Amino acid sequence: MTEPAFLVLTALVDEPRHGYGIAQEVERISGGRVQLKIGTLYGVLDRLAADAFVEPDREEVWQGRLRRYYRLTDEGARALEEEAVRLADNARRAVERLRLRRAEGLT
Amino acid sequence: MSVLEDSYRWVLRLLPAPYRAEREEEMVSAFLEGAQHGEAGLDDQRPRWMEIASVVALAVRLRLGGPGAPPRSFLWGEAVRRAALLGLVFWTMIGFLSAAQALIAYGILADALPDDVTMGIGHAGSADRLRHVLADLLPLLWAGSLGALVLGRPRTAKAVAVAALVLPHMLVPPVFPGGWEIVARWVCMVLPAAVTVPALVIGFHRDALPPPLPRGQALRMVALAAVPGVLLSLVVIALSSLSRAATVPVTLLVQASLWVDVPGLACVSLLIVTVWCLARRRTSGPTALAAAILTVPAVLSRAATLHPGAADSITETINLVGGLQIALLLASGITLTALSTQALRTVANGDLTGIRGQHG
Repeated sequence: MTEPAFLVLTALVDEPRHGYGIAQEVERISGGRVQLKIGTLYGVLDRLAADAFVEPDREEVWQGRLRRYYRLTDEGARALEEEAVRLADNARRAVERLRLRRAEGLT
Repeated sequence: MSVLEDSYRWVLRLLPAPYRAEREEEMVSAFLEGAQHGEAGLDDQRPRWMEIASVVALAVRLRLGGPGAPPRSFLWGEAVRRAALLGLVFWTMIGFLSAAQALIAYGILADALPDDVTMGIGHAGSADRLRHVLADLLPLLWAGSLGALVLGRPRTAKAVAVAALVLPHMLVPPVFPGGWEIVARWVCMVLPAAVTVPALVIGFHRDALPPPLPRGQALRMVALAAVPGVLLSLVVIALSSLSRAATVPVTLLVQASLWVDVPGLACVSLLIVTVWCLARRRTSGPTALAAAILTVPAVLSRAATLHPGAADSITETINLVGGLQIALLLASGITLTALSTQALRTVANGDLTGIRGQHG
């Protein structure tokens, strides 16, 4: 799973969001590091929808413009959890090894 | 409608119409909300370049679709991917031809040339010679790119193909003493290789990854392209020997040489592909479309070697054989275009049996 896909799924965990809402949330979650362009965002949403990880939730008209909301599916939540566990596991291993390195005085 | 919205909608026209019908309004909405919140002022005249680039990338992915894409998009995607693959196979052959010739011309293969024959550029052991030998060996990188692609590593394949295209020209930069005509001829000569790289870059995207072949099968595929290159180098050497021996008329040797230089080999290769496509006309749609695309740079590269109006017998021979090759390429191009059109019509009618089964 790519980082943008991971972040988009994470952005949808608490509530359904529309396109710009997802982009905003991704930027917030990543501490401003990932700023999804609209073309990239919809490319990611297409792939996630094709994998049935997200699906359209509802449509609203806001200031005369269409907002389509997307929600996380159960399958998407499972995939996100598996990926999160995998990443956390990798991060834990890296931290353990770095701690050992420091303990051996290699820094 | 603001100028910014108008120009963003114009950029979105790059996307396929059915996708636009589904997504345009929400994409415009998301973009303008972003603009309102400070990414760009609403008074801006056009979207930022990164925003445009993201739409271009999306358009490429949608228009050159992978296995799950709509039929027409999949057919175009397959055509571009096969153009890249055909290009890599061809340039792998040329890479081995170039390398074998360099090994012989620079005397790296012992006793390959008679003692009194000196070939190659620069003195033995000089930096100049090393530069030229390397420039002749670097086209072997095309084989690396082909290998990486068939092993299912498109990123490596793309990086190596760019290196194969660019590095020889960096080592031995082209010189243009004769103004724009020489530049135009050089561009036409480089075009067939240059077309392969963007085809590779845009064809094999995240939704259309190459299926990895087992290592042995991948190696056989590279060898299949390399062997003709090595054999052709023997033909070129034989022609050089005949030229030195002066037993065969020069015009005859020139005629033969024009079939084993790069544009001549591109012509022969495309003719072979055309015959193959004709023999399998029901299923050859994407390959025919790929070969039709590749015919354009092949024609231009041969045209770049012609000198209309020249009076000497050698130039006349070059123009005659070159003209014949262009005529053959145009004939095969028309045939390939007809086959491609037929395939596109078939796809429009919803019959995918001849195309889906060909993937990979």
